[in-house]
Amino acid sequence: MLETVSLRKVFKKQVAVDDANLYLQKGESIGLLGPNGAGKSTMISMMATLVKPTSGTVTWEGQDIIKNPNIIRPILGVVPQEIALYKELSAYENVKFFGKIYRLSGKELERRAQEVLELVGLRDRQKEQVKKYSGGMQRRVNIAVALLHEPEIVIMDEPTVGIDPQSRNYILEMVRTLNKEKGMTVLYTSHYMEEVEKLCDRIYIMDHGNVIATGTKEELTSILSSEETIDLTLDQSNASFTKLLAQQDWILNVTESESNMKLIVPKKSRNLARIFQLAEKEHVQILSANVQIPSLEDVFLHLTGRSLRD
Amino acid sequence: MLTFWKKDLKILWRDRTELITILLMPFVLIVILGFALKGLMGGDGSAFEMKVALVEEDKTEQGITEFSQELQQSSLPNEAKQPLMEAAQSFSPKTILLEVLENDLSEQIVLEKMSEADAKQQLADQEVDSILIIPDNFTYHTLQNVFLGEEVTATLRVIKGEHANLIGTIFQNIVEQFSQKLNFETALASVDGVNKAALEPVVLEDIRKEETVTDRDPISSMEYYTIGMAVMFAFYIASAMASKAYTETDQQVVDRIHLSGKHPFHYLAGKVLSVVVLTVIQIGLLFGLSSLILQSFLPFSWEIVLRIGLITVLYALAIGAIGGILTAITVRSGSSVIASMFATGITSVLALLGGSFIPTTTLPPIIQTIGSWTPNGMVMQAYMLANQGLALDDIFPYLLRLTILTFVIFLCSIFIFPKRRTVT
Repeated sequence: MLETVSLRKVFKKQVAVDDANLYLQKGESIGLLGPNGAGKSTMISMMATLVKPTSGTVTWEGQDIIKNPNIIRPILGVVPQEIALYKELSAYENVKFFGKIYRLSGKELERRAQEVLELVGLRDRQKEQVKKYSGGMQRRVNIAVALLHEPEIVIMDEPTVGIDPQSRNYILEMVRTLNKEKGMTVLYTSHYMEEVEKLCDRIYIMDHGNVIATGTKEELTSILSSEETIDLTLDQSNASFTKLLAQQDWILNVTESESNMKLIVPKKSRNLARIFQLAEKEHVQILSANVQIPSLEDVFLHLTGRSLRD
Repeated sequence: MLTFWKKDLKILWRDRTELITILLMPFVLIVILGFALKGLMGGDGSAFEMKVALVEEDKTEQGITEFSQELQQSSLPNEAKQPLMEAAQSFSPKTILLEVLENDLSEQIVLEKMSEADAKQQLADQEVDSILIIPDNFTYHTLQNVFLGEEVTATLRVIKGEHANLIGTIFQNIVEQFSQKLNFETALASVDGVNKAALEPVVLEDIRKEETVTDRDPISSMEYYTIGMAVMFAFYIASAMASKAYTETDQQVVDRIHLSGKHPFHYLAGKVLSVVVLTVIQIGLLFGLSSLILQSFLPFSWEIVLRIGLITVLYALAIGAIGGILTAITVRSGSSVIASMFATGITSVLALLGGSFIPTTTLPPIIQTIGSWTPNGMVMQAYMLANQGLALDDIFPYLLRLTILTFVIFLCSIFIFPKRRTVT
């Protein structure tokens, strides 16, 4: 088990991670969900032994890996958020280079190189320079390099940021395969709720350096079991209507985005009626009203008052 | 280590812009500076030609005859007269001067005999640059002065044209040096009581030639700037490699390497080795192009080539060490500031101190001393001595200093580079 206890990291006077507790069991797929700047990357950098914590511990099978990073490094694969590749080299050359520094050589290296390139779907274009690839293809090579030495644990830091939907789906399927079929332990960070929902057994939600909630998707959404989310689409934005809604004590949260509004309200049958009454009073036309099943996004909104993509 | 080295060379090779800048830009500068500052160095050969009108009023034979008659009538004993007579026959300052001007300095001076009126006319018409007037009785008066010690002045006259003041001044200086040399030899003979009959003819070769320790010509501006630019641009290879290291650090490639468990020394050594190899290629290319296209470093000598090769290898190791320490600082700090500062500022300062732009002999002594301790300053001296054909013994002190500096810098880079076991 990979575990963090009271992990804390302070950069100058900025607290990036504060008292974070997290664990991964062998074979699990864990999601670390949070908006940009939540501290996810710092968290996994400490867990990957690349950054020293200010305080707290990270252990693998009970052994302190901060003091002895070489306990875990041979079995750890890290897919950083940056494209950590040599862009002047081809995918094949990158894979060969990193394979060599992971002490693979000869036929074994060649075999693994072709395997990972096949896994990420780039075997046919392996001789092209990485700088000529699309963003999605570059991210796939990024993953391939992390898998060369057949790690037991893979940490992926937002591996689908800024890429096309096709590559994104490919990567998500690949992660699922690695976890379910090859038994790799996966720690996956993202600010896309749907990715984490799809891939992960358990989820940690982070915000402002703190782990604010943890559990399976069902456990997390049950936080909002007494609440429901209503999505409104208005004909146009109306500040006084927004203000009026926010003043209602039976409305828990109001979030506005252009002419769309999201309300969190206790589950009551007359919610919609009361909302329409208020709209009529303010002469606001509601084009559509949609009662949502709570999502992780809603959970985050409930816990922080902000959306994941703010 | 070889894995890292091959990777770094491949990456640099594929960065065409950087490669062209590092390998070919110095050659462009060599050509520009070499032609622009031609004549700055002693080995640039004749940078000018001057036309001189010779007005010869003196009659050598007549002068000797008059002197002989005076000698006969003098109160000197007969035993003294005969050797002086013989000496006077062979000692002709005018002849010596004309031999120097017409033969030894024939590449620089074109002498044409004419009357004074014609000479002045041609000077006015700017067809000649100067006039040399050897006055009447010059030989007679010179013999009187030299052999009889009479206070008689024999004056050569130089008239400079206003249109060629610089050239005229140079010619005047040549004639003045001749006169001074002659007067000095005469005075020396008088002081030492040397038998004036045995007075050797004045040798004026050193008026023309610059003294060189060896048989090779003094360094030309092309050669100087080939060396200067080669040693300067080598620094850019070091900073380029450090910049690449910054990119690798920023894009977390270095983190991947740390995670692999590979000892950081391999990464650093790969960078150092790449810099060493590229520096050897760069300097070799520049010297080769300079020899082939600009006809520098001639005549060809295998001995000199081997010495230059040795200096190049040792300098490349020094540049490799500098690349290593820049890489270490960059990776440790996670910032490209040091590499940028080195490329944009420090290199220029080192180049100035080391003499890449102008010879350090024109700089204040304190600057010269500082410059002699820079790696490029040491190597410039070594290259120039090697080019002059000096033995390895003469170059060795510079190479020893350079090697020690290389070793110290490399050790510092190992110390600074982040270690494997520590979490950063």
